[in-house]
Amino acid sequence: MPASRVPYVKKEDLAPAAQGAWDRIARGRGMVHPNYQQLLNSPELAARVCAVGDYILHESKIPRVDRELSVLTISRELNCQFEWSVHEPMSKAAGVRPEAVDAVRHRQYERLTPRERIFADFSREVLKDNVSDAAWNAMEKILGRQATVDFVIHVGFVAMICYCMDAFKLDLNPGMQPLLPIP
Amino acid sequence: MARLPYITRRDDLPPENRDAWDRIQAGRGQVYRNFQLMLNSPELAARVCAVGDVLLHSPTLDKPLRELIMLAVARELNSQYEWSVHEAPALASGVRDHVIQGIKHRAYKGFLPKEKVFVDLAREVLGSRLSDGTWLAVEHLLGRQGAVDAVLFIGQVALISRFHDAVQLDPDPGMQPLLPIP
Repeated sequence: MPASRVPYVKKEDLAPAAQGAWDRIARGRGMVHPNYQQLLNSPELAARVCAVGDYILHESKIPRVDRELSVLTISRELNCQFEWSVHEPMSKAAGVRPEAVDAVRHRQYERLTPRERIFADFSREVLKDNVSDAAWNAMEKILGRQATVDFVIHVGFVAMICYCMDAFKLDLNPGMQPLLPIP
Repeated sequence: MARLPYITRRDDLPPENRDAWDRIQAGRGQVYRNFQLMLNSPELAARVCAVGDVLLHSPTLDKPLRELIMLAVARELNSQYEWSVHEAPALASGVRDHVIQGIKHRAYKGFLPKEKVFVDLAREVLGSRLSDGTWLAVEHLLGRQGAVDAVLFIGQVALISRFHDAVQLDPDPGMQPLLPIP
């Protein structure tokens, strides 16, 4: 039984004037994933939200491995089962160490390497609205000014996507295993 | 002190990025200081602004409702800037002073159901634990699209608040801190 609180919108469900929103999302991501099918209950908003993610994925200079570690950290901190379970294999494919994945899974951040720790700590501090000078300076030294701005927005953006997954009760994909222990 | 320079003039941007300035200005009428900071990443700033633009014109999220939600998010995230800049506009837009003070001090006695439900929505969404009761009440009041907009509005306000903190946006001139933060 699907748990979703809103229908998954298909292109043909949209009014002709709103179908452009579907096309913009499909163009940016190659397909319209189920979480965006939920957001398409508000079509123009869905397309604009997706465009923020497109920039982070395709245009920002945040290295992919660091971005994936951060996505895991945010999913862990927000207890977002879907985001974690989709990204755990993606993270490993991007080069995140399996030991780092397990450390984040169990909030054992002290097991991370210094560079991993910078990205995990910065992500957690942004979520807590409490970014220290040390975390900011370490990040700006690694990423430079523009990509540090991108990284802050990235954290806020992934949090927004996680909130939607919880609020609209996104169903796990067929065959997808829940990989995040949630208290 | 802000951790980034303010991009105060369109000409501060390289020519290929100036349309980002124009898009923000077209959406909001001016380029506010928070977006002057975000313009250190010009294309992203314009895209983030475009999300806010559509929320500000959502047919279901009227101004008093948006202001109430913003205060509830600011309280949950302890966002001093966000709260202090929105307390007066919230009152002016018609949010009751009793409600503003109640959100500030997390004391909800005397709230009307249609006020309390949106405070609950903000707290539950930000806590990743939106209950069936709150969801159904919001969907009943706003309709499906409006309820989706409301959840995304909370996410967007949280994103902007977190940005303000991370980059240490300076208070507006004369702005008093109005939110007690533990």
